[in-house]
Amino acid sequence: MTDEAEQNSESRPISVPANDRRAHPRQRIRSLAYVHLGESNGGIVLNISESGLALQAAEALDAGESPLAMRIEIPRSRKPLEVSGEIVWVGESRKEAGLRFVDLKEGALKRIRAWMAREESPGTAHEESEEEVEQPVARDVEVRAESIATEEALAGREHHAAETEELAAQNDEEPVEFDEESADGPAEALEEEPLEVTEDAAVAMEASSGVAEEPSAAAPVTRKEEDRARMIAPPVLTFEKQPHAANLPQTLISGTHGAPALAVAAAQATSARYSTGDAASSLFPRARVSAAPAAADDGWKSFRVQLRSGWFLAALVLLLATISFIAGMAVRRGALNRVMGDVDDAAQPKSAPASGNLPGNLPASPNGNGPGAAASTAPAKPLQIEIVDLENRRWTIPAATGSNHDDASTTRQTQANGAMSSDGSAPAASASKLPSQDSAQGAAAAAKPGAPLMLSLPETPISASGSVAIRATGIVPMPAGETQPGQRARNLQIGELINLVEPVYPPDARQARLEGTVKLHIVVGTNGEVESFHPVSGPDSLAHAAMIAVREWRYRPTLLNGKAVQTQEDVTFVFRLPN
Amino acid sequence: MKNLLIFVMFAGVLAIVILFGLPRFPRQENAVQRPQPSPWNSGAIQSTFAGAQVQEADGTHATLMFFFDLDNNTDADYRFAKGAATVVMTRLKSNGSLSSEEPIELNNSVFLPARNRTRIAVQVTRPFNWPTGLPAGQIGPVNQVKFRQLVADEVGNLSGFVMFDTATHFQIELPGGWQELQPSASAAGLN
Repeated sequence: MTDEAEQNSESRPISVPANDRRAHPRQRIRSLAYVHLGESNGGIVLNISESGLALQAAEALDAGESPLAMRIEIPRSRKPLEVSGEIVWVGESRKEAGLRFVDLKEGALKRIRAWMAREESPGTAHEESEEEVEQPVARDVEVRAESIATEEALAGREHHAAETEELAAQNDEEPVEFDEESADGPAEALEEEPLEVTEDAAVAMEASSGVAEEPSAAAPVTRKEEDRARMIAPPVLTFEKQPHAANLPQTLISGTHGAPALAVAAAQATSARYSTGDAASSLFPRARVSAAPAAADDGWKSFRVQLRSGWFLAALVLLLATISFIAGMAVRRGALNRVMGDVDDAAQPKSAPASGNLPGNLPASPNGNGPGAAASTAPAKPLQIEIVDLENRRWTIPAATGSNHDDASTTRQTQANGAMSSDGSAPAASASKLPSQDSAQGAAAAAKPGAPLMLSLPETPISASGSVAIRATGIVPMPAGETQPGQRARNLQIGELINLVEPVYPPDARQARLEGTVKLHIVVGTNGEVESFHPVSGPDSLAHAAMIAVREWRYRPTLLNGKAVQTQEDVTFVFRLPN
Repeated sequence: MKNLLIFVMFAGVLAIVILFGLPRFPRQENAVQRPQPSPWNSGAIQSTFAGAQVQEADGTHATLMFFFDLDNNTDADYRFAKGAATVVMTRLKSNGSLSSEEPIELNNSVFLPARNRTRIAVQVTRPFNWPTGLPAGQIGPVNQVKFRQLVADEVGNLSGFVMFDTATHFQIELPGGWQELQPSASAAGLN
């Protein structure tokens, strides 16, 4: 195996091929590790194993310098590693060489193993490097990446592939192709080991234009080319997706030419981060350029939205509380009773009235048929009228005669006997004469057996003056025994009015130009005097005047079969003012 | 955000001031000149006819009293003062018109507690020759007719009363329950 081939094989990633005959596997150093070779020379470590390392020196090396004291600045380690080694091979340029450790101490061996482990697990390195983020790195990386992109653009992709194949043929190595499956795979696979993909300028420019593109699988990359690119422009940018950013556009763009996409990709995916994946990371201190400005901006926006939502909710709650308070106070003050009353009417059933709080001995809800009667649960009872005199004596009489036939018929019988003065227990002397003009009205009233016959006489004008006209209709109650069918009343003598007093037009009514008709119902006793009267209709002032006049009226007794009987009259007064 | 909070608080305070403060101030002159009539509230208080009574006022007059139970369906207490503020009118049976021809008035001032039932009475005085010598036990049939006639003549052509409280703008329908009463003796052919 030639040195170049050995070098190429040594630059293989951590996986050790099955045909590797070395005693210890070699670990390619992804980060930039300086090695000081004496006072005047130095270089970078290319790969390392527990037995030795390969380096690229700044000055030509001489095999006779062995043993050579080396001071290696291990990345992410403050204390340099002091070892000594002897040169095993030297490249054609005499700047590349392989050294085998000499008298390697146990402590140094442990540090080398730890270093190799860190190089093998980039995630650990990334975590360690998070503390060392510095913004200027991004600018430097971008500038360097632009130069690489320009160079690659000039070379062209086809030339690129041809050269790769040529190099592969020389190295008897199969070209390492881009692992498309890994690039397209889920985010979990991408997180395990960041893939490094060399991209051409076009891809880089596309990425820089804001479109997150996956690397083209048509650009095979060989280790030779990778090494060459690494030597020319070490910064290998690895865009990784965070585990929690699986829903974001995949921005796994790793390669030497992906730098231009850095700024845009970082701005788009706030969780994306990149790290230098090669030796150049030491020059550009292991930057994890977080998209701090964009992330902070978005975070601030989100925070502002949340803050705004919180305040909005608080304001809404406060507003509702205020409205509730106002409505409550309005209800308390009765301002909404009009509305609430209607609601309550439909919602709240009425309770039955308590009979205990009724005044006097009036029946509880005797016959409610109004708006509130439907809600009354008291059984309907016949309406009764309570009579109270000045001595506060009380009587109760039924309001209707139909519901109390015994009492009503007694009343009618008594009335027919002419006892209008008091309680009907002292009937007056009955007249022997019946009216010659037997009216049909009286016969109609006598249709019910035993009912009194109310004989109504024709309406007769009594007087007519300038302002009052008087006419009257006489009513003679006929005893039931006198009104047998087929019997004619022959001995009825109607008493005439012998003392007429006309009513005086009330001054206030005259002044108010009040006119009207007053109807009075009067009862004339057996002696011809007006026993009682009450107004039926008409204005009060006019009725009062009419009643004052009626009190002075005198009649001749009405005789029925020779007996004076009590009679009734409906008197009509028409009050008219002269024009 | 602070401004928003201040604005909301200011709006709340302003609403409270408007709701409770302004009604206490006297109305402006133009508002007095052109008062806006508010509708009468007829649903807050409902009534049921409870009975009728005839009281002797003097030898020639009787006072007819009609009792009603008022149900206050609201959460507020009310008072109906006897006087000009409370107007009682009659509602004619024929066409439902209101009439103030009869001088009907409230018996007494009424206190109507919230969610309670209170009995009130409206009254009217009519000339009436009070029968003399009424027995202590049972009133005679003739006098029953007289009293019955008195009541019937008063309310025979009425479907009820209506009470208006001009202070609270409450309209209380006082339905008549006297359909059993015969309107007057004229119904029997006396007129």
